[in-house]
Amino acid sequence: MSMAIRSRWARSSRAFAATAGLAAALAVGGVLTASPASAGTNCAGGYHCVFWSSFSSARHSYFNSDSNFTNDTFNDTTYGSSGSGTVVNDNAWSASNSSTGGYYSRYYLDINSGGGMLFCVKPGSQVLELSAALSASSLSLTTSNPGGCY
Amino acid sequence: MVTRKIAALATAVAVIACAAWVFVGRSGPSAPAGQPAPDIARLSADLPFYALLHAPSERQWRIAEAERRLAITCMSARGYRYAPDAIPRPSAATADHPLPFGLESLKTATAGPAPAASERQESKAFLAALYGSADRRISAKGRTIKVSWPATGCQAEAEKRLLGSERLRWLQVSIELGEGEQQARKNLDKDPAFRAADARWARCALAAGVETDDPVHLLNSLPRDTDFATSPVAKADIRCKSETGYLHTAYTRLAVVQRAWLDAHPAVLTTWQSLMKRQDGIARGVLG
Repeated sequence: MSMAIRSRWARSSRAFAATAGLAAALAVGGVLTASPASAGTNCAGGYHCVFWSSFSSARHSYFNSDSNFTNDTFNDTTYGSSGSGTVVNDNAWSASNSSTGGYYSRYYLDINSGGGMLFCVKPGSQVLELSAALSASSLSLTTSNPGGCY
Repeated sequence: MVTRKIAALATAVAVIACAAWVFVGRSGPSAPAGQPAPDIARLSADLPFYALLHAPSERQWRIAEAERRLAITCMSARGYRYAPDAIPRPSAATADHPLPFGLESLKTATAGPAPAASERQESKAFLAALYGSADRRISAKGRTIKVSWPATGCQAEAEKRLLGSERLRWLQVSIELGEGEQQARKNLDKDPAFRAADARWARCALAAGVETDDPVHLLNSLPRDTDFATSPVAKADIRCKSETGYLHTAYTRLAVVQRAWLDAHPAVLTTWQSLMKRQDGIARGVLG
């Protein structure tokens, strides 16, 4: 019996469109920017937030580690309704860290911190337009910087 | 020729879209009985980017711990008790290494247990002291991501103590280096030796009934709750990697491609090393 593999990414036109758009950003540049009031943009203190797309889309906030995003949805429309109700698993596009305990947000490919770490967000930081964030399925908080954190 | 170009483009798109630049906890591969297991941890540690970004080091620990202590002192001076746990000393047991070629083990969980919950809900004034004015952040954009950090507040002040006026440059070079690591992985797909390894692996997988182009594509196609230990697809992946010597070839060639990227971007490496040295020097003073 053949087990044909079909990429899970093929279903995400949003992902491909955003990736293509990001490819147009050719150079690293730095600026001072404004953002809404909170530690990380639109992320309350003590929380680690993921967003369906930008920080003005539906979000899900994690107060602690979470081993399985498949049973979570972007259920908070305080700052935007785009993506509301979508399952968090594989669909988080932006992430914000408003830790009050110095915790790094470590996002993993699979549930139960499996499949390897995808990316990491340091306290106070926020990362958006992450091409690598699309497949996050679990979150583990840690006090140590595993390297390569933004 | 056209077909080959389309195939190459499809592969590149798959890698970009999958962005499977994942990291795995220190664990050896699960080779079939009788097969010598390649020392994946050593192969990974030989990657030029590993030493820069991922290797556990006393230097990285000093910088992080100094930053933590500076933030605590700053918060205390502003009347707040900020008490993040001490940064654990680096050890091989806690090291993560990139997982650029999909599964290397049939272990499902690659990370240790999550720490006990200790986040606390704090006042807005506490948050303002720690992360500063919410409408002032520094940001930098790379080819695939945009990152922003607080411009003021105790977290920022701690980082400024270590980096001085170079904090934004540090953010920029961190993005450049991180994206360089990903770009090197993409460049590897053009490497003839690696492509041959992919082809050998794919033939082996097909013989096992698994039809896919490469191990990264395979990993991203699996349901996220897959139990690798019992998955026939995951078992075929690991077995074929072992039988074809896939990981040895892949890591060896990736090391060459990573070095080529660094050689082509000497300013990035020079800036990174300079700013790491600066931070470490000041961190030593902070830690006494």
